[in-house]
Amino acid sequence: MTDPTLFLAFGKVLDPAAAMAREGNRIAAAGQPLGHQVALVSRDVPAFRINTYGWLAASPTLLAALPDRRGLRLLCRDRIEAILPSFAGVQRRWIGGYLDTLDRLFELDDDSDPERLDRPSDRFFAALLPLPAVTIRPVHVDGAAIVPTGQGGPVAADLAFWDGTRLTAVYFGADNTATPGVRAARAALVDKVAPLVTLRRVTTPADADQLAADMAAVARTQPYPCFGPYRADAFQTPLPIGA
Amino acid sequence: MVFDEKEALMTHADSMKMRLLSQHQLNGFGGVGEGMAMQIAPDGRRIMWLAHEGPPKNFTGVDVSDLRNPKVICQTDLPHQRMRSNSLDVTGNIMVVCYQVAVPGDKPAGIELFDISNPESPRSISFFDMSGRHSRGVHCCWFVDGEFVHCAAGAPDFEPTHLRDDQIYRIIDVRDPLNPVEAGRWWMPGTRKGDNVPPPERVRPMPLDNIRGPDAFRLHNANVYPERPDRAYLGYIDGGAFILDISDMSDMKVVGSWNPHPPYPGFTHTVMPLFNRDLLVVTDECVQDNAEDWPKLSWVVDARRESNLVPISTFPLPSVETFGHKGGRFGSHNVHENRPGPSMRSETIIYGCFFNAGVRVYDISDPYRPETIAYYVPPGPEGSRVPTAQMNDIYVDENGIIYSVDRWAGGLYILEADI
Repeated sequence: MTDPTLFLAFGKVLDPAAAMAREGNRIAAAGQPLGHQVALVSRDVPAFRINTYGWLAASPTLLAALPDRRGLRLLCRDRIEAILPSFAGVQRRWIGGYLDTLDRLFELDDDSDPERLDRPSDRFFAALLPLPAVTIRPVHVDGAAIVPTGQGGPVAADLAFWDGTRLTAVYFGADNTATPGVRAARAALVDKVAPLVTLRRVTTPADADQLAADMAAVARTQPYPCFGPYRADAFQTPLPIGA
Repeated sequence: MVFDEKEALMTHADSMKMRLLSQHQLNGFGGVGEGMAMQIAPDGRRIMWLAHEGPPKNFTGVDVSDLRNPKVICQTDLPHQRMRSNSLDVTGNIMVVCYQVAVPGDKPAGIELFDISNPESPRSISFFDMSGRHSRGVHCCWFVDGEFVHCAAGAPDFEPTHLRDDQIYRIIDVRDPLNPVEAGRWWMPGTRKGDNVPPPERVRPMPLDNIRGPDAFRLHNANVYPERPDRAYLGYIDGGAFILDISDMSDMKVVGSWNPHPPYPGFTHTVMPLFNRDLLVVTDECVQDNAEDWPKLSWVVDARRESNLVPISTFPLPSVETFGHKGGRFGSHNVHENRPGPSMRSETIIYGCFFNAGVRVYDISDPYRPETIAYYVPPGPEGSRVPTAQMNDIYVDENGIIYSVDRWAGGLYILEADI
């Protein structure tokens, strides 16, 4: 992975350092940037989408038992909500709204063409994956070893999205929700790994709606096919339209 | 040896990741109650308003624009010695001050509104009388929206079943500050004569020769936030914590409650919601010296389902062996309440004052395991009735500057934490 690389621990992780030592090293060794609770991002890592391999725990048997695409979407929704820690009400409410936005965005897509293997509504699965309750730390990856660099962190964010070029770290609430030390740590991280991380603050319901709309719009830009709930590694990079 | 210990208490601060920027003993009247509020004055100065613990002083305004050189710019007197203000709150340029009398029936007992546009010369706007035969007036108030004062108050027409249960939840509409009117009231069932349920069983019965203090089912704090204007969070002393639906202020309803007393020794003080995390921080108040009512705890409560509140942890405190007999009270009291305005509003870092255990800061990122991340225990101030500082209230501004006060003599302490 290229430097700077960011190690992310997300969801129910209480001890990011332990998660890095255990699961982080595992995904680094596997060359797989996204795991159940951790991730590694750098400029050579494609965007984390709902159908990016690594985070979704669902057996082929379960997937086969789902009746339709809507069932698949509901399964993903359930699994995304299951990432959330217990006391993350604001993230839970926002993610619910984001997934509702995605549903609304794609529910009118016409899936009726029986000749198509992919479905227009599958763009739901190409939407950016929200990573709630995330801790961010600049690291250097050397084979299976992850070594923190002196570039700041760990810094916590309420939510993050990786779009393949930058990490958007989301904070709910105004500046006065963080201590001066935390504010300084966030600023230092942004400065040291620029332009890999941007901070986005959500202070009003309108901000929350706009964030959901902006993130959902990324899925709209995805060309077909979107590969359903699983996107193989070979297809991480979007295919050009008409290919 | 005893002398040495006392000497140490009086001269040395004990701290971790926190330092004193300045202290002001308020011109010799350094006993402060639990009213602290910050005003950004029209000319940009930052004024910390303080309600005194008892007479002769009413309230003091301190210009804290220069953190290392605070200045008293206003100090007022109470009308007589049989009363106290104890609590105040500020929104914009309006300040509400509480008046509580020592003996039911005495006056003035109520709230007074002041225009503090000119902080040097507060101008009385109106007084809302809450005196009565069974009323001691108002102990505590919350005023953050410029519209309603939520207070622990007696009422002329409220006769409690027990002498100490006189202060109920009253909401005063001050949208017309010249003419405040009551918008609603609620009390714990059984505490009013004539209720159709029996009075609550006393937690730690105390003789009635002193009606201040413990053994009470009355309101202490009522907190209402802009995030949920339809909810009031009440610390109802021995009655525990209540969440009320106040969407109809004339007909408030309980939607959740939790009470650790008994077996714990009573005095729920503050119920502070953390809206983004569906948690509550609930504090008890230590009200007896020398750890006679130990343990007085600060609780973290799971409020994901507000009708089923579940305690999940308490804040760690230093040992009772070390602090319990240093003098004065030891244990929980006020926390910084995340009020709107020029105020810190963290949902992971909680700032509290713990009497002789000083000002303490907790990280509750993992709410099952709160951690102490900073503290400052001042030396006992000169002129105090006890050998320790009794940190009584706390306010943290939006820049993370911590303001705390001593109950008896030390006045205002301005602190900075390296967190």
